[in-house]
Amino acid sequence: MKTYGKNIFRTIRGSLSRFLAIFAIVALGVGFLAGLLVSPMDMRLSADALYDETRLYDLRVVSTLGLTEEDVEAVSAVEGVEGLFPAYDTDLVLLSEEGDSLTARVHSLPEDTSEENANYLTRPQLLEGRMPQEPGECVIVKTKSLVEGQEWVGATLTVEEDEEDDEEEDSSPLPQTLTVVGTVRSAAYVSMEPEYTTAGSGTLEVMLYTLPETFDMDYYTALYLSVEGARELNSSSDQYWDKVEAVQSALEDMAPERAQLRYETLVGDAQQELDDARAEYEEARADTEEELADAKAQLEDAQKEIDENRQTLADAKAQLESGQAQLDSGKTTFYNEIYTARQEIQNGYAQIESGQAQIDSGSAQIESAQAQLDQGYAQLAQEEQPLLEAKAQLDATKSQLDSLTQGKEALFQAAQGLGVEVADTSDAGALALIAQLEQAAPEAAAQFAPLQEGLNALAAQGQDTASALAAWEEGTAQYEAGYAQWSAGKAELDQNQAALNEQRYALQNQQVTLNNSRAELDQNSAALQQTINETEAQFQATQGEIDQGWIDYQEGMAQLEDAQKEVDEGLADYEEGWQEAQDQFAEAEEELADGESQLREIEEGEWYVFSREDNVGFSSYDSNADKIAAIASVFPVFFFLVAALVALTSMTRLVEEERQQIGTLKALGYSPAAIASKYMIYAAIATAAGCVVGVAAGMQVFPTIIINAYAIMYDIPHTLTPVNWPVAALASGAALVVTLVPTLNACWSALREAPARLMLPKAPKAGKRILLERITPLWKRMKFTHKVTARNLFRYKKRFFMTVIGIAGCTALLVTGFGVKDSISDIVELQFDQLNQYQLIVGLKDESALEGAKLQEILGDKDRVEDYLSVLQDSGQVVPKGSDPADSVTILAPSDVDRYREYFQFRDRTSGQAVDFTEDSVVITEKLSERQHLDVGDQITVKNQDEVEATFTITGICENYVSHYLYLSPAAYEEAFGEAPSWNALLCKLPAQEDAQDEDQLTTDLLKCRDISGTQYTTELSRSFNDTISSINFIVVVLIVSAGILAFIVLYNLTNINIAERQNELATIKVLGFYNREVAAYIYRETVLLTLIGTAAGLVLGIFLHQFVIRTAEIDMVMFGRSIYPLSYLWSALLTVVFSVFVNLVMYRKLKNVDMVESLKAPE
Amino acid sequence: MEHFIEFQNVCKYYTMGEHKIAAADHVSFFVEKGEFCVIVGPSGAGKTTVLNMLGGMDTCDEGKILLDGQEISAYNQKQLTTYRRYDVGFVFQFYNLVQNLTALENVELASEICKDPLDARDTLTGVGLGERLQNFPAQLSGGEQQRVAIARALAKNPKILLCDEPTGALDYNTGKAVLALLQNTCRNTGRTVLVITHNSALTAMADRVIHIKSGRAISNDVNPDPRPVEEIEW
Repeated sequence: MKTYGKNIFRTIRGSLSRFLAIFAIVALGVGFLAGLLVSPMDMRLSADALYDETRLYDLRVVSTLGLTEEDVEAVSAVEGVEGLFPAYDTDLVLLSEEGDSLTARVHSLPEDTSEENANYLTRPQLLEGRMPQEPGECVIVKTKSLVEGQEWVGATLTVEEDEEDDEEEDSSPLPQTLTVVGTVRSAAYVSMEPEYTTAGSGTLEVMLYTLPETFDMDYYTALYLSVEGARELNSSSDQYWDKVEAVQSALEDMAPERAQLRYETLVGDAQQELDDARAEYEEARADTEEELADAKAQLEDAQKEIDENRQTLADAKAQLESGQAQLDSGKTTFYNEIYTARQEIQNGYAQIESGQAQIDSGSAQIESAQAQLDQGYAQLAQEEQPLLEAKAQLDATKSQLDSLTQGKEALFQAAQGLGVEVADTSDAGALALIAQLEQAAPEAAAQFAPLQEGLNALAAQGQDTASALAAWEEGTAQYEAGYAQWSAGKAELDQNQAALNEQRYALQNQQVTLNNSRAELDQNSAALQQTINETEAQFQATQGEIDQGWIDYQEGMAQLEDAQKEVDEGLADYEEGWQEAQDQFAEAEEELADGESQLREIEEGEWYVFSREDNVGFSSYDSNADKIAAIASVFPVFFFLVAALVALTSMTRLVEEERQQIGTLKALGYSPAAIASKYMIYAAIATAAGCVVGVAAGMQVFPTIIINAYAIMYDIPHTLTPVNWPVAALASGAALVVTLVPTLNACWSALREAPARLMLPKAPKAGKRILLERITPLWKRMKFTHKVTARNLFRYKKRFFMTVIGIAGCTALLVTGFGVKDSISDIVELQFDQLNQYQLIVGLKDESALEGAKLQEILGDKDRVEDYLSVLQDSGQVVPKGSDPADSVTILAPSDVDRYREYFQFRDRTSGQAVDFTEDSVVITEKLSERQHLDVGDQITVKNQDEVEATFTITGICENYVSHYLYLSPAAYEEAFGEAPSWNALLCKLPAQEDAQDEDQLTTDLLKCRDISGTQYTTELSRSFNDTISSINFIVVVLIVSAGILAFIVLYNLTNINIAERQNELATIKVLGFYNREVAAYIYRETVLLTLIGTAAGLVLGIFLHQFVIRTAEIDMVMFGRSIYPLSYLWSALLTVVFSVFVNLVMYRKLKNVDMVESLKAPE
Repeated sequence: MEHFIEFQNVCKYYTMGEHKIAAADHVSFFVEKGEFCVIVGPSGAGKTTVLNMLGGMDTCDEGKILLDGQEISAYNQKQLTTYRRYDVGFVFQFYNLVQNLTALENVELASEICKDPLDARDTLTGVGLGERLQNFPAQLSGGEQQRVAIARALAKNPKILLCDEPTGALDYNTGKAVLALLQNTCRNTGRTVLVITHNSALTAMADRVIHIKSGRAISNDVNPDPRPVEEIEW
């Protein structure tokens, strides 16, 4: 057997990498499983250690009416109550030295703070300074949210003066100042999540512990109890809760009776006081109102008079205005007429002027014609002279001639008479005759001397009488013609002169007419001017009258205004007085209502019995532990699956490699069990080693990481990580199963074969045609090397699936990791930015709070609250069908269904479409529908706080992430629960520019209003939510790291085996002369393809895994975002590829070192 | 005169624990081009070491190996790969076919990467496997597989064909047929063929016989009368 042991040892050494792979994956799987399983337990254990150490109370009893010594006695008598610590606490606003207001809770310590006092519960642990020794000293709880680095010891805190409530005698049960003498840790405040309060900003900022003497109170505000035997138990265990709940229900049973007793003593006094106050107020109010009424009547009379006067003046004014209007219109008409008349006159003148012009031009024409005529006459006269001369000459010539002729006749006669024959009658004859006669009769001849002379003269001229006569006749004819012409010219001129004279006469006539007209016009013009002057004088007189009227009116008006002013002032005084009175009334009424509300509060008085679950720190820490537990149940599955795969491939390979050895051993007579045991032992050693390391490391590392991660938010000083044997055994057992079963399976197939066959090399896995080859066109187009790759992929199916599963697992883990981050970071934005459209919720103790003047004032200020809507929020419970959980659900009925849609986006998450919310709608939130397996059209039964059950038919399911809601219209609510909804909350939209300081101020002011139970900012909710879930981020880191390790182990192992299995093939292609990179490519092509397929599968798988994780990790009341961002897929795929590339690079060396000579020596 | 293949005082040492063993101890021999050379010697004599060094699968520690005037012993790894790729054809005792490839594809695997390969189909037909191109190795007999291996070596159109106990895993007749194929290849193509065997009967078919014993080449004889393998019996 010693040799056998050596054999195993040598095998391990020979296949160390394979051994280590199994070891590593087992260590990882077991480490994860054990670590994650144990983490929530260790978280609770660590917390419980603190709780036990500081004696955190198991139960807390508070009463709205306070608790008396009798109550303390009654409670201590309850069975199971071990320690009982009656305490005073109060919530109030304290001012720091810097003037910051801090919303604080002050607790009292017991009188006896010694270790031995079993009644000293929730003991603060001193961190700095000292515990309080004098009244007025206190210690402060150093929570995680307290400002770092601030020096608290020695600080003085001042109780804020509530200036408005100073009439109330004892507004604060504390002294004016508190001095911080030390800092402590308190198990009641382990969380940095704030506790809610009705004081100050609504959430606690500091918690203080002080001596009971510091308090000036006549009743206790809380009783802290410890339950017998509970301290020894882990406060997350069922046994603990059984014990505590027994006492809790016993206390709850006695609660109503105790509360009733307290109530009766308190309520009587208060009622009496209130009634007195109301009577006093009513009286005072009546007096004031009467006084005011008188004043008002007087003022009204005065006003009436003024109004009458005002009317008279108005009439006068109207008259004046009409007079003025008349005058103006008269003026207009008059001036129009005048204008026309002037126009006419001017026209007349113009006509006259034009007539004159015509006449003048006529005259001028006539004058010029006359001048022409005169010239004509002058010419005629000139022409007449020659004519006259010619006539005279002609006449002289004639007479000469005649005398000559007569002389001749006389001669002839004489001659004849003398008997001279007269043959020649011509001159010459005459002369001759004469001459004859002279001789014949000288005397007779003397008589003819003139004749002779005349004839001679003629002859001298070369003429004779005959020719002279002819010349004369011709001259006469000429003259006659000239004369005729001249006469004609003269006649024409005379005619023209006559015509001209006629024209001149006519013109002269016209001139006379024109002159007459002008005279007439001049007369008219004068008359017109006269009229104008007269009328204008008249106008002026009228205007003067009117102006005087205006002056009178203005005077009257001024007087009136004075009077009006007096009355107005009087009225303003009255209004002021009235408003003052109203304010006083309102104030008084407010006070009375306050009183009433206080009275109502007394009526509402109740006992509450709280367990640790109601402590914010405790419960949130617990739910975080639950989340870790949920995640712990998912992830190791992967590692175990992969561990099984690694074991299977490694062991199969090992067995195959040692076929001949197995055959030899078999031939030597070793039993199959003995042979198999080698491999079983091999696997078992690897697994066991892995388990030891995994358990040891996992159980330390994971809880430590997780607890430390939560230490950011929780003040748990302990980190307890004891080895949890049951978990270790469970994880190791699981690991052994997943490695040994595949090992057995691997041995089994080898051991079944006959030794002889085992001695022979195992027939190489035959090559086969793959489906792809049948698609000839495709196959033909593929490169040769690709064909080889394709065939290899399908040849080694086991390896194919393992790689794909391993890679897919890696990618899926990464997708899940990133997806969880996406989902969680989604919620806050989706819920508080997209779905909720309001920023502030104001809780109302009573519907009547809405009528409070102070509240109305705040709500009316648009700069502080943009809009608000009153709603009913009732915490109800689903009455489940079958095995569904009895979820608590908020029943919400808005006062205005239509407007509520502006406050909350009703939409479907997947389609993004709006979900109807109208009067008839019943809408539930998505997570609720999932948990209750309800769909639209299904019925849901819900009971409200008063245990009234109602069933609804769901009409819509809407997207929502935080809490479950049932949305109803007020009518539907009333119908279902039998009472009209009473608005107990206000949803407020705040202006966008509000800053934190405004918010604080608003909260402080709101909380001062009557009947306000509290305020909550959605920003505050989202902030605290963010804090809670930020711790989940580290899970993402863990996932990514583990996915990387997983990918490495899987890929390394598989590539390693791949190379080992195909050493011969690789050596062959190397011998054929493939370069190193070609050899690498030969293998990598397969790896790459497998990685890609695995990544693709992993992306799909990741979606489901993410869904699963999200649903598992979700808190009951919260729905995480369900979608993964595209970038997360990208990152996941990229990281997988990076891991794969990394492994392949590591493997390259191994490929390079494949020894051809060695590999080819042996047959395959 | 230059020989086609020449080993000059080639040494190869292996370290076994504290001992240094010479697998090849000053081996010197030569082979002429186109010869069918048989290297014979007992198991462990260093035949395979010599062949591996000649084939570029292994390096020598001392001495010179020359092929066709090239000093192979001076090559680095990359040059050796290139040398194997283009100049050497290997035939192994166990065929070393890629199981996942058909006969044709096994040949193509080699011819694909060569500069001047012979046609894979023709080569396979040449070795008498024209009918079995599409068969996977598992569907072929040992002799047929060895023929595929020879075809694969030949298809590369190498300068030398190195065969390491090519008949070692074959029965007598098949072995004879394979040897005949090698001899004919040498005769018909003039390719230099080196065959390693421990069977000295095969020396009769060789042009040249080199005896190797204890890592040394003890003789290098030319066979004046090589006989066809069919005539040899053993």
